[in-house]
Amino acid sequence: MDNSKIAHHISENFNKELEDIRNKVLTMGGLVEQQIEQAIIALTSGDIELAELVIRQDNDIDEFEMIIDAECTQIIALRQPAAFDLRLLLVVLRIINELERIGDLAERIAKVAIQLSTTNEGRTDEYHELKHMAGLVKDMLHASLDNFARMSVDGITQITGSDAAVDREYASIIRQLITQMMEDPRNITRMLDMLWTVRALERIGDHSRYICEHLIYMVKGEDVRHLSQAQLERIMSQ
Amino acid sequence: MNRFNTGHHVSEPFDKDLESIRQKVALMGKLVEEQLSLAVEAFTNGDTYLAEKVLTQDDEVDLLEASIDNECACVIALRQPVGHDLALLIDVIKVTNELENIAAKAEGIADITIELNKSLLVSDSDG
Repeated sequence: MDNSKIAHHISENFNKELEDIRNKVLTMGGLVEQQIEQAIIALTSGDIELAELVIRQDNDIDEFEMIIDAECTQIIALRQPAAFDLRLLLVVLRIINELERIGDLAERIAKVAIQLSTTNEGRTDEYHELKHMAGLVKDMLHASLDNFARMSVDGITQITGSDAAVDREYASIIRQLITQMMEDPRNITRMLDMLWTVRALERIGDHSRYICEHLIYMVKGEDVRHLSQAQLERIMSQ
Repeated sequence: MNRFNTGHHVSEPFDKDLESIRQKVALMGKLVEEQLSLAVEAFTNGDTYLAEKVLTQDDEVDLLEASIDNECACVIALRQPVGHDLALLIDVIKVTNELENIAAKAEGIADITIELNKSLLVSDSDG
């Protein structure tokens, strides 16, 4: 792993502390990715036990958030970092908050999976698009964590750009759900559960985009939140 | 009790920094509160005009968030606070994030209001 951005301090301990924080964030991120994956498998295969596992594992994510949070605050207090180091630590605080929220969304999908497994009677046809959308947001999250690992923002606009594809997929699935509700009102309860799931996936896409925005702040020192994709691309090409 | 402990530090500029941040957080909180009640009002009355006002005002909340976060980062870098002061500044960044999330939800309610008014469903059930 490229350590040039964090391993240049005179204090060997400071280097170690920053690296330790980065590794913990990546472990937490890996756990969150796994939670999304398992929640979707639980939903599409009607696996209640797996869904329950996802719900239990959310506690681990919450615990990770608290530990990393406390470590960051302590490092800021003891090392009094400035410039990139300070931005890194502040950004870690924000990234773990996004990860924790993504974890909550995965937990919500797992809860829907339990709910749906009782009413689903072996229907799997509508899951094709859902799986595709889940794949898109998982890729977004993975790519943004990969950029965090490398402390780089190269090609980051590609990740934020795929948020638009996620939104299109979201709109298209919602339209289908509404059609199915109108076709047969007995579908409505199930379709509402599905709606929560696609909504959760759409939010996961948003949070992954936010992680990218935090990374841009970390590397470039520029606050790019709330900008459009076009504005973001302009800034990044400068 | 004033958490920002104004007038407590040896360094007077530091007190001023904290007081400025405190005022901005209070202002942001007020704006977000207003956004939320306007959004709910727009939704219940089907008031598209009001909903659009909520959408434009959201920029102001976003700007405030960015400005408060930036001030906090600068104060941490320049004054190198520890203990209570540091914890407070980090908490402020978390609070602005929560407030911004609430404002985004208000924006969502305004979006839904506009969409609902556009769709035929409303005109069908109105009569």
